[in-house]
Amino acid sequence: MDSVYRITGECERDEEVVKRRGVLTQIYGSLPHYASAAFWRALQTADIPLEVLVRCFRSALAQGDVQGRNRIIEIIFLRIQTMNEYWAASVLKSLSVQADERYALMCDLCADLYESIIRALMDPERLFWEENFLHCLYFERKHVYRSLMMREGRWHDLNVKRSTRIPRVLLASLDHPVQQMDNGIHSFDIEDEQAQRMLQIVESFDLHQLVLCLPDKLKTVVLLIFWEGRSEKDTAHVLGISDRTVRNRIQAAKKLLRDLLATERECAFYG
Amino acid sequence: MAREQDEVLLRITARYVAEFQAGQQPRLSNYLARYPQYASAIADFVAYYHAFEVSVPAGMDTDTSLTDISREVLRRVQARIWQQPAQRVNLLPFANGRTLTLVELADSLNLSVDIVIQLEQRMIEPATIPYELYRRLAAALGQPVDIVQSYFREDDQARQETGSHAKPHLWVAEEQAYYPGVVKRQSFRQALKASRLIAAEQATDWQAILRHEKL
Repeated sequence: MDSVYRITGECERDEEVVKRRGVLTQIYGSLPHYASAAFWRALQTADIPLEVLVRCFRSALAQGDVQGRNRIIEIIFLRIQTMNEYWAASVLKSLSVQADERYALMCDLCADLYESIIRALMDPERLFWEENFLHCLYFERKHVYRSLMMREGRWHDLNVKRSTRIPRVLLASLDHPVQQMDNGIHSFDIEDEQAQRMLQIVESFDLHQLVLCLPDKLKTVVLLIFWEGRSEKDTAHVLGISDRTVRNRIQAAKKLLRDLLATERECAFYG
Repeated sequence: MAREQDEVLLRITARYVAEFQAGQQPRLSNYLARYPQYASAIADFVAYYHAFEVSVPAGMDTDTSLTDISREVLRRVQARIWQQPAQRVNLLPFANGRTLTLVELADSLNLSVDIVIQLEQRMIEPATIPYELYRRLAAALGQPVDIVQSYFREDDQARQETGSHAKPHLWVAEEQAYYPGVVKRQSFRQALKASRLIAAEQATDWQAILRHEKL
């Protein structure tokens, strides 16, 4: 376990972290003999930290115990399934998708997440899972969220190659007949409808969700100015860049955010 | 980002989250100023955390059974990850009788199973294989590196001398399956790119190795 702690001296001094490591090691060490009935009973109690379950899983894996491995994975997922499904639902809430598509997307999201969790747990060098499971889970979910947004064509980072896949919402829109007025004039109340949809889009996003889709350099500037309330000068100082660069980045961010909202409006319109 | 840097980033952001959860209202600017080399990654995480994670209930489940979604998804994922072909492989005839499953060998090489299969079938150009992979293969098979390298080169020569239908030296141990010689070889880099099973971290590691070895 030592290699995991080769981190900055600052972290090393963190007493809380050291104390937690000690507690986890103690719990793991006090577990009954591996694969005994008492061992399984202990693992199924809710007060066994997830980090300890990770160590047990890796131990099962190292011993080639397939049944044990599967059993521990199930125990881990039992403990985090509500959280993950809640997360998946809240991620999808930010996308304008139809109800029937939502369930399929939710399954896709959960499948991607579960796979990435299992692969991470199978990698014995990813030791932070044995120290702070939930925090590692945040990162896996962030990664899965980003992948979903890219697949759905909603990621606007200029550094990321945009997916060539046609977003589901646009595909679904092909099946929707154009709505016409009964009197055959074929007029639409477009102004009001679009304004309404635009409003919904802005409401459904918060600043962080919008910012997430920006390139990294713009992201830091927008967060410091619009979220933390820093001045341009302060922001420039924190990031070690000039005031002019800060202003340029704000302009670029505004342009991208306008484009992003326009895309969302389009998706909402077709959706 | 290298694994060690990932770990540092995890620690820094874990501290941010701990402070936030303790009601200390951590300042993003402090973190960006303190860790400029991780500024982008920290900002990315903080934006994501506040957008999606803050509202997720952190309480652990006390469910006694998996939900329908979880059960179905877990079944699919486990099938994809673990129910790989379980045939035994005996990669080299001089491997001192050692046999490994594809999954075991893939794990020891930090590669995905599909690339290991291509290696075993010699569908990857030997000249494009990084030395580090030869080294890991040698360690897994208990052979010196130069023997592993020469083995791949011999096969390359044999192909040239006897044509593309020459029977390869590599066998799947029990079945003695014959891999057709008419295969289009690709570079190791292409194999990495085309792999559908390799984990992102594994691909990143191997790309770094390829860069390091200038391949």
